[in-house]
Amino acid sequence: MANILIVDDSETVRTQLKHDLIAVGHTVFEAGNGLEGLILLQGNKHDIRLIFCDVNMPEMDGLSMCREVHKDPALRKIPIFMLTTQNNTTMKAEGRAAGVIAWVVKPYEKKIILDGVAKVLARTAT
Amino acid sequence: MDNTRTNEDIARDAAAIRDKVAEFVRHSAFLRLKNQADCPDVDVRTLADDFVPGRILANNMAFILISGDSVRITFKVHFNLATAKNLAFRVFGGESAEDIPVRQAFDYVKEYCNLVAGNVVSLFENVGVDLGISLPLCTRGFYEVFSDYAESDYPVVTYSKFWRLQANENVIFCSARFELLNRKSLTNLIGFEIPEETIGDSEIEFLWDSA
Repeated sequence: MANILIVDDSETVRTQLKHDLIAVGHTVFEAGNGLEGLILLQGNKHDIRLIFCDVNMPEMDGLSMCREVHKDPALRKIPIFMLTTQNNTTMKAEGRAAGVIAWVVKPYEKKIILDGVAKVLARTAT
Repeated sequence: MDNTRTNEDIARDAAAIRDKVAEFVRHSAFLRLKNQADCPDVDVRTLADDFVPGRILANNMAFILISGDSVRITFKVHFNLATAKNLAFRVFGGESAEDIPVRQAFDYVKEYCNLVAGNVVSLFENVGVDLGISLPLCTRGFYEVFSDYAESDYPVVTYSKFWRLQANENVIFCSARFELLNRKSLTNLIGFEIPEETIGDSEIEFLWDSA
């Protein structure tokens, strides 16, 4: 089980996803935008193992946050799942360049998310 | 240029584009309420003929802008606080729907706008039209009186649609203001059938090939 950070400006999304992740034993940290996410990630003192991030957010959008995470040697290995309503090819290419490893379009299905998380965590643990 | 097209053909195509754009939004609003409220029987009704655009439909209003080079859509959800609390209760839980804080109730409706907009953008992608989404906002329903619902056919086609959605005992009103900025780039909409979304369509796309 891992410490997971959810970065989304919607409390509704954070609550739903937090509920699903906690139910299978993960510990969840929350941030309401990219800037709050970066502050929480500083030095990775919370030992975050995976990040869920929205694209459209106030203050700092998700892709900008991912670019900052990708630039930081202490954080760049943390896998990032983009969780967004947008499914645009250009945006996905930008995401990939910024270190995003998975793209999930909302509304998500619980089983698919949890399987994806398990798969990536198992991979990064080895 | 096709010189064989009559004025009737052009008018028919223009009407088909207008209808399809409106159908995209109405369909997305229906589908996302069905998912989010977990209600298989969402009832959709067009507002009565005597409805006057600009009339205040509820105490609160959430809205989002969907826009690109060819089309601009303002989608609004008009709702009362008790309805939003009832809907949000499914996500936030607690003792009762009445105990849901206003902040969470509003957030739920804003996220609904976001989901509707995301679905609209996906539908437009099927016909080669790229659109972006704004952040959703929530305000007083009273501000509807300042909305401009004037219709026009040239140079920008502008029109509006209004409808009512009911999921169980929860009623919300939706409105959408459409501005067709470049009708030529929307011709692929003619004859396009909205694909049926089935449970299990959602998936994770791994961008890291080796993941």
